[in-house]
Amino acid sequence: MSLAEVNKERKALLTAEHLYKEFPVEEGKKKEAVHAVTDVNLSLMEGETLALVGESGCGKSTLGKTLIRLYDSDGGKILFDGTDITHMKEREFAPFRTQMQIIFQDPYASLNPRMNVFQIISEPLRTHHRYSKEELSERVYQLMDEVGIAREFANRYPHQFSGGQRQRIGIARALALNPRLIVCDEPVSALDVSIQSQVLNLLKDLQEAYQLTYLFISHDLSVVKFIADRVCVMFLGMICEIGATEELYENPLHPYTRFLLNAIPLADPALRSEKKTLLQGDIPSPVNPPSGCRFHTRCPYAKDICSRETPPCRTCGDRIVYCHFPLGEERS
Amino acid sequence: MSENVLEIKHLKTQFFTRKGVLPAVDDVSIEIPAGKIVGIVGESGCGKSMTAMSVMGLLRHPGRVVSGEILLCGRDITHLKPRELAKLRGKEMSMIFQEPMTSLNPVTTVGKQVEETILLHESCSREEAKKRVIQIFNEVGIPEAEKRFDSYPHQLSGGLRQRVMIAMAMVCRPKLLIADEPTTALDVTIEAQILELFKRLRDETGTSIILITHNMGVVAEVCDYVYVMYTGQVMEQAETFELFANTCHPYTKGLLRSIPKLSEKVDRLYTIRGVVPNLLHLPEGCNFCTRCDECQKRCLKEQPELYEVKEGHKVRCFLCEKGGA
Amino acid sequence: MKAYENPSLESEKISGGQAVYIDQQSPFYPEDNSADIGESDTILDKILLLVRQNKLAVFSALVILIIILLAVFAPVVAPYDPAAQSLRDRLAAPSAEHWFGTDKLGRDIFSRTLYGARVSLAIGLLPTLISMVIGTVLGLFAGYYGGKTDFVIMRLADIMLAFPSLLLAMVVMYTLGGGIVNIFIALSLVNWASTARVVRAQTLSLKEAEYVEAARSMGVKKTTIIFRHILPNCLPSLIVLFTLNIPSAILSESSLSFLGVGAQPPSSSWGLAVTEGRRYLFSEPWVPLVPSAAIMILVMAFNFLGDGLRDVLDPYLKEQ
Repeated sequence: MSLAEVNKERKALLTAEHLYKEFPVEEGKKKEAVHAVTDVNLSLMEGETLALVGESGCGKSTLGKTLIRLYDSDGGKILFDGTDITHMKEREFAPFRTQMQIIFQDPYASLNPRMNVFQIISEPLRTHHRYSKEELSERVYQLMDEVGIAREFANRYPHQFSGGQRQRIGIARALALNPRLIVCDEPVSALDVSIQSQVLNLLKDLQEAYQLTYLFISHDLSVVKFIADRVCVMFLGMICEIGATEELYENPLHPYTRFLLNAIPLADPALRSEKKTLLQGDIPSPVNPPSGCRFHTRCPYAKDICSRETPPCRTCGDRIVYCHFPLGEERS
Repeated sequence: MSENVLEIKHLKTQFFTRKGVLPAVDDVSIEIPAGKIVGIVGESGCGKSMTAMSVMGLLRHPGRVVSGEILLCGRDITHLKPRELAKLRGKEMSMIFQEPMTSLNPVTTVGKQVEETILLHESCSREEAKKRVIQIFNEVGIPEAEKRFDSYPHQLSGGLRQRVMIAMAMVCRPKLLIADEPTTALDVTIEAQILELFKRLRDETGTSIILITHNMGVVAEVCDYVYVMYTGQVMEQAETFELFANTCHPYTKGLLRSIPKLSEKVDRLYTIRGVVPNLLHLPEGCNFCTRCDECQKRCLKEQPELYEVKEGHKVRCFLCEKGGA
Repeated sequence: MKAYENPSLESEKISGGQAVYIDQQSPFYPEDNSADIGESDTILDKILLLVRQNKLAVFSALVILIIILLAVFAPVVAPYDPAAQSLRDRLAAPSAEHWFGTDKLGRDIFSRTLYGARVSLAIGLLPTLISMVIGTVLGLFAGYYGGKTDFVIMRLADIMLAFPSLLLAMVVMYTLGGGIVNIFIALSLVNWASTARVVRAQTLSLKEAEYVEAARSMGVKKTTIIFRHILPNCLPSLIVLFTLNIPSAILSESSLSFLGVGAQPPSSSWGLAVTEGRRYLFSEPWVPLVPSAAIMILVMAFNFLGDGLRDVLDPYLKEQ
């Protein structure tokens, strides 16, 4: 059974339709906006890991946080398990809140320095449940076991832990409410290589044990290759391409995906290519994004139409690409 | 020996803290040949940055070089006075850092800042200096160099800021450039551009570059020689191709195996167990023995030395004592 | 090479830059073992650090402690009743009998200074505490809720700060009449604005912190976030601010009393003593100089202590 078939059988846990998110910026008198997320359509299947990849400023973190309503969207719809949660009031939303959690990038900033491990992990439990003291500590200790933090450290404060251990505490906190969806916002990019692999393995084990759905946000394509079932590549707030990991890495359809894959420094000098095709120039500003296809200013294959018209959504199986001239079609 | 731009001999740098003495750099010897890129790779706290700081004379209290020699172009700079060292910095050797924003003065234009560096070290007129700034901006690939001269740091993207830093470091044509995690804060496509720039600078100006990084990919991409550091010690050193083709130290092997590969799909990643030990409580024997899969009785008691496996390939592991693994 | 290369060391996380700051910050050297976790920087550690680093602050703390003890045990220590007049001994020079001499009514200045410390300390501590509590709460809400709440509170604070605070206090005192209790009220009402500003600024930055975002993602209530996540992280600066606000309250009381709208005779307030003694500055200088010196010593002691505490508790404000 191919992954596509598996996906068809699974139902979508979270769906975004024409989602927009803008941040107002004031520059002098002009009121402008950072177009962080523009017209995003995305489905997250139950039990899968979907990776959002892209460079800084591409809106992947914003998208992740908008999807779980940490930010209010500026247009479009979000469906969780079939229910429209886009404009729910905080009270109605509370039962959904417990089902979607987030793990942050910076394990130094995401834990309150003045709370100890027990307080940090128990906070979501205290917020949503009325546990007795015994129940509470039992659950917290169980979570600590789960993520590999020794129980005797419950009274320690975050600064006494290393980055990897702090990230484990953050994971325990996210797991506390038995969520169905966890947004992992660059969870390993602040960690050392040897610690990174430990945390990645942990995330994978937890997914298996609790049938979690991950939205895995990362800029590191090697990490994504390891953990993701499907990958969604973003550029300047818009989706470029979505596809099953293997296929997308083997055969990128969007030019940007290919350049991204090309730019990864590989840990093997034998693969060192003297003349790599590198993407030139910088990422344009999201305040005044280029017209038409937002990638056209950097794209070597860009033609007239690319600067005029937003590329259409082309689908082929479970592969989705937004490009006027996808690779492997006209040019191959 | 004279072709080495920098020679570090048995350098020991320690931090004298309330809780004890931290051996941040422990008996490190590194040679930087002219016109080569040498990578120092390791995890946080392995002493790679502190080695660089010791060379630049930028150690802060309570850190101090305890013993060893640092020779820049054959001249011993270990015991130079701060003022004499300051004269060398920017002229003979310069350094760039991970986050360019904090290294640039936010209220002065980037052009002026680079100009200052020239005027500080050389006697030339302002016009001449400005000309050279624009020239170096072009060299490091800053588009519209003349316009950028009057830009403030916050108006530039991360990649451009790093290029400005490189321009500032290179403008006096130093013999040695130390780059401390220069691409860690940058995006992959920008990182690739900056790495390309390093290669070009090496080839065109003959500057030697020390590239400090935690990313094995970056090392494989641009370095000619590699030193792998762990808890203040060099664990393995070799020419890049040799190191990747014939990895000897269990730590290096572990590092390479724990990186997810693009070429293969695995269910679980290899992990080096445990975490880096606290430098205050290092194990008695080999520093890596608590995490090593191939640890033997001897490793718990004795410190291994650097054993030469092949010419230029040295490994700090008893497995390689007889030469060759 | 470049003047600005040093700050970058502070931002280094990956490359082990912490070692540089190991003296002040958490003692772990980057990645520590589960079995071998670094010890914490407890309050005790910080006090020890203060003792080692800043002798002046420690000395000031001692001075304050002694003044507090003297004030508390004034009835025991004072050789005379502070109100007892003895016209025969009026304006006596310092002697073994009257250590600091006597004032125009023949009252023992040493005894009066001891009792005056009670007034000054009470004025220094209580109104400051009250005004800071008001300011902290208002600052927290202004900063966290933003929008209209913020606008209203901060404009109010601006108005308070636009008036010379002494003038404002005088207006309150005229309306309410003199006396110690009214000084309490006046000073409590006047001084909250600066605290509110500081707390609001801190709240604005703290509410962007990831751990606050994490709390929001868990559905924690806003007021809980404010008091559980934001307030505790403001505390170090509040402690510093507290020690630095005390002397200004003491000075305000002295000024008000000096101007005749504060403490009224026969209170032993230092400010009042300076007013009453100023006529004798050249003939019997000890009369105004002793209470002046007392004010100066207490104010300076609090200022030095505040500076010292700031160095230890608020490493960001500290200049290397």
